[in-house]
Parts: sequence; C-alpha cells; structure tokens
Amino acid sequence: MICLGIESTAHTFGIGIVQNKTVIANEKKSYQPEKGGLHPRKTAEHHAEVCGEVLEKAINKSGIRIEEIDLIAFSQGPGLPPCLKIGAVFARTLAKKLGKPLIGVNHCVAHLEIGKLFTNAKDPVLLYASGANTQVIALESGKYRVFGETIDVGVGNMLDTFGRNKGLSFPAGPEIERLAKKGEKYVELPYTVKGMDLAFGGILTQAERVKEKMENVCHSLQETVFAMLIEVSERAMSHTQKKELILGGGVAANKRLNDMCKIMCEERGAKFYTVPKQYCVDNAAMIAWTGLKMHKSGVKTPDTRIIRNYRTDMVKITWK
Amino acid sequence: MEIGRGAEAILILNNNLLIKNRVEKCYRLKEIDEKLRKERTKKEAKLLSDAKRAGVKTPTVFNTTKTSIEMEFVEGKLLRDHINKARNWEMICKKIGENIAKLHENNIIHGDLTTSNMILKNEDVYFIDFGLGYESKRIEDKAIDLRVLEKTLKAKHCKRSDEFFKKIIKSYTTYEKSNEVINRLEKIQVRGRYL
Ligand SMILES: Nc1ncnc2c1ncn2[C@@H]1O[C@H](COP(=O)(O)OP(=O)(O)O)[C@@H](O)[C@H]1O
Ligand SMILES: [Mg+2]
Repeated sequence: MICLGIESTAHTFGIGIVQNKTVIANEKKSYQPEKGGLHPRKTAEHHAEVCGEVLEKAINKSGIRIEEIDLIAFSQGPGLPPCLKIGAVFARTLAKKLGKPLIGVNHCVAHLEIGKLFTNAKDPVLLYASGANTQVIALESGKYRVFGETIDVGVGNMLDTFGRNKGLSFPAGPEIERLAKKGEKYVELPYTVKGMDLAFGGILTQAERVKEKMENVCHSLQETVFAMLIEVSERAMSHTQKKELILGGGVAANKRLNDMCKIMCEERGAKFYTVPKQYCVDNAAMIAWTGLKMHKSGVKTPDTRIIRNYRTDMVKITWK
Repeated sequence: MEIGRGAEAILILNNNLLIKNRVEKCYRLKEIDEKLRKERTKKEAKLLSDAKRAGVKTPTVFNTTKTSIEMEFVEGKLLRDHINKARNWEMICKKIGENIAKLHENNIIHGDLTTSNMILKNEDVYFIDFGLGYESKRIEDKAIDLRVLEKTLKAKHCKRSDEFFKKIIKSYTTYEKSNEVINRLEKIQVRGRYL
C-alpha cells in the first residue's frame, strides 16, 4: 500500500511517500523569511507557489507513478491556519483527481509515530520540541496524552526571538548552539517549571537584559531551558513509569539537548532513542506514515476542514 | 533499603524512617543542579511542616540536610496506582479537595499536585513532595495549582478524571475563596495557548 502525505502546518511545505514500512520520498521546501519572524500569509503564499514542484520531485524520487498511490494524508493541525489551508486544499484536489481516500493527520501525533518507526521504541515518552510546539506526550488509555507543555511560547520560537532581538541569523537555534559551546560562565536565569508545565517568557526577557558576553548568555540560556525540558520529560517518565524516551521536533537537532536526554535516561535506567534528523524536523513522510497506519486500522476523515488547535489528546489511537 | 525513585529523588527506608535524597542530575549544569536541589529541599521541608500545621496530613519531618529530608514513612497506597480501582474513590476525592482547601486557605501552593504525590493510609490522604511548592496569596496561583491536578488526572486517569475532579472541586468549596479560584480556573481552561 502506498500513501502520499502532505505537511503544511508552519514554514515547511513537504510531500512524503511511504510504501508499507518504507519511506520512498521525503521532499520539502521551507520558507525563509528575509527578516526573522513568522509571517503566516507570506508563508502560505510560498507554499502555494512550491507545492507543484515539491510534488513532482517527490514522485520522481519515489520511482512510482502517481496513479499507484492508494491514499492521501495531510496534516490537519495544529498549525497556522493560512498554511494549513494550502495543504488541505492541495490534498483534497489530489485525492479527487486520483479518486483516492483522504485522511487527516494530527501533526504532533505524526512526530511520535515516525519516531517509533525509526527506532525500536515500543511505548515511549516523546519530548517534542519545535518552533511552535513544546510538549511531552505519551500513550495512556488509547490516547497520546500531554503530560507537560509550554504555557506560553514554543522553545524554538523563544530561541529565535532571542536571536532576532540580538541580531543573530535566522533560524537562531544553530547559531545559539555554536556560541553556547564557547560559553564558559553561567549567568543565572529564571527556571520556570510549574508542575509538569513550562514557561519561557520570563527567561527570554531576562536573557535579553543581562549584560554579559554573548557566548555566556547563549550557554546559560541553552543550559537553563534544556534542563527544564529534560526535567519535565523525566517527570512524565516517572509518573507513567515508562522506560523509553524519544526526542523529536526541530530543536532535536541540538547536540547538547541530545546529550542531556541520554544522560537522564542512563541515570534512570531508561533507553533513549534518536530519530534521523530529517524525520525530527517538520516533514511529510511522518504524515504519510501515520495516515497509512490510521487508514489500515479503519480510521476515516469525513470532515477534512483544518483544525488549528488540534490537540494531541483529541486523537483516538486505534492502531498499534 | 531503596523503596522508590521519583523524578527527582531516591527514597531510602531505614527502620520506619524515610530518607528522601534529591540526587545529583548529571544532565544539567552543576550550578543549576545544586541550586535547585538545595532550594527545593529547603522549601519542601518547610512546607511539609506548614501544611501539617494547616491540618493537612503530611509525613512528619525529623531532620534535613542540604539535599535530603528525613521523614516519617507513610505506609499506605500511592493514589496513582490505587485510585482507579478504589471503591471508596468518592471519600478519597473528598479528602483531596479538603486538603487543597486547607493548603490554599493558608496560602500554600503545592505546585505538583498529581496522584504520584498522594498516599492513602487508612481513611487519610497524605500529601507529599512539596518541592515545587511556594507561598502565595494570588488567586491565579491557586487556580494553576488546581489546573495542574486536573491535567495530570486527565493524562493518567483519563476515563474517570472528570468524575474525580468534580468531586474534588466539590469538597474544595470548604475554602472560603474557592469561588474566585474556580472562576479563575475556568478562564485558564479556555485560554487558548496555540499560535
Ligand atoms: N513519606 C513517605 N512515605 C511513604 N512513601 C513515600 C514518602 N515519600 C515519598 N514516598 C514514595 O516515593 C515516591 C517519590 O517521592 P517524592 O517525594 O514524590 O519524590 P520526587 O520528588 O522524586 O517525585 C512517591 O511517589 C512515593 O511512592
Ligand atoms: Mg513525586
């Protein structure tokens, strides 16, 4: 069975194709604004412009003919409405043209499912740290439950905002990581874990205010927010008694965050799994893969309208 | 004998004395690690005693060091593992609500209200693990305290969480300002947080 998936929740437009358990194409184009920050409308225009070309590339890469596709999956939310709409319209058109079923996928759930595909994790906790999203999720009674999340901005967006205001290149994550490596001194920043939830706003304000070498601020910023992410993940693992951790989302590209996950898991006798980078960041293979699993377990999407606030725990997990 | 391991601490039982030791976390910077462990240990020891004075069942604290607390061992059932199958869940929820009411009456915020931090012993519900707690008079902070509980109930005891939470809220109304807190909680519930 072959499923084509479409990702279009934020700055990435992607098309992925999955045949049974193999990813045979995973193409994407990301919108790079000249000046930092996310512009929903401009991003959507970008997606509308590149969708045809990304589709063509994906089909070529996969080596299949477009008629061989059995199923179309698209990310239904959560995300920026103008971007989600481009993906949804494209998906509907394609499904109609090919006369194939259409299935809506929750973007956050897809991150977890692709993580499971590329690791041997059976029942993991996922630390999902991206630009807009920061959640710790795990399966409990048939749904992926959110055990902790940011109560203001996503960790990636926070880092980008910091970078933008400090004149670093966009996206700022890699630049902050590079500078942080040269940092030697820790300057104190607020540490804001509330139960299982996180807040980044106060840290951002403080980090922008301190008078210190940039390297030291980046080092302190990274160490503080990552420690918070790991702590909340560990709390979720302790509360659910789960013994596996997967790291996903764009911020997963950060080496220091990976190392911290590894150490935390070692210390509590758990296993840490990494997902190949192209499947950590927003990608469409994860939408195709999750759509395929859902379809096989009998899920249908009668209402294909976008769901901008699509919560992870709204999806009933009927597949294994 | 090690009897348990939470997210932060190792628990060692020694002749009915329980030692909660906040162990070093090598994943984080020493500066952050030491500060958190010390602060939380200190806070926890204080709030365990304050809460007891407020009429909430908590283990008695006997001794503390910089990162460990020696306390009474509460021999009972952890609600995380017990509440789903408890016949007397209504009584348990009532006790939870009354406990929170007493804490908030005395401006104590627990900070980590989950069923992993509640122990049922006979007919009493003991609250433990005050490491994320603090003192505050603010309605918002009290509402968030309830919100944490609601969310963790939902995540871990999803099928029954609504029933549980309703019952808890019902007995929470013994707190005189409970109306204000519950109103604020409703606002927090609808506050969208995506994008
Ligand atoms: N006083 C106590 N009596 C009995 N059991 C306890 C006591 N304190 C802690 N425990 C057990 O140890 C576990 C972890 O303790 P806790 O204080 O919650 O540490 P952490 O901060 O690591 O979560 C609890 O969930 C409970 O099972
Ligand atoms: Mg605990």
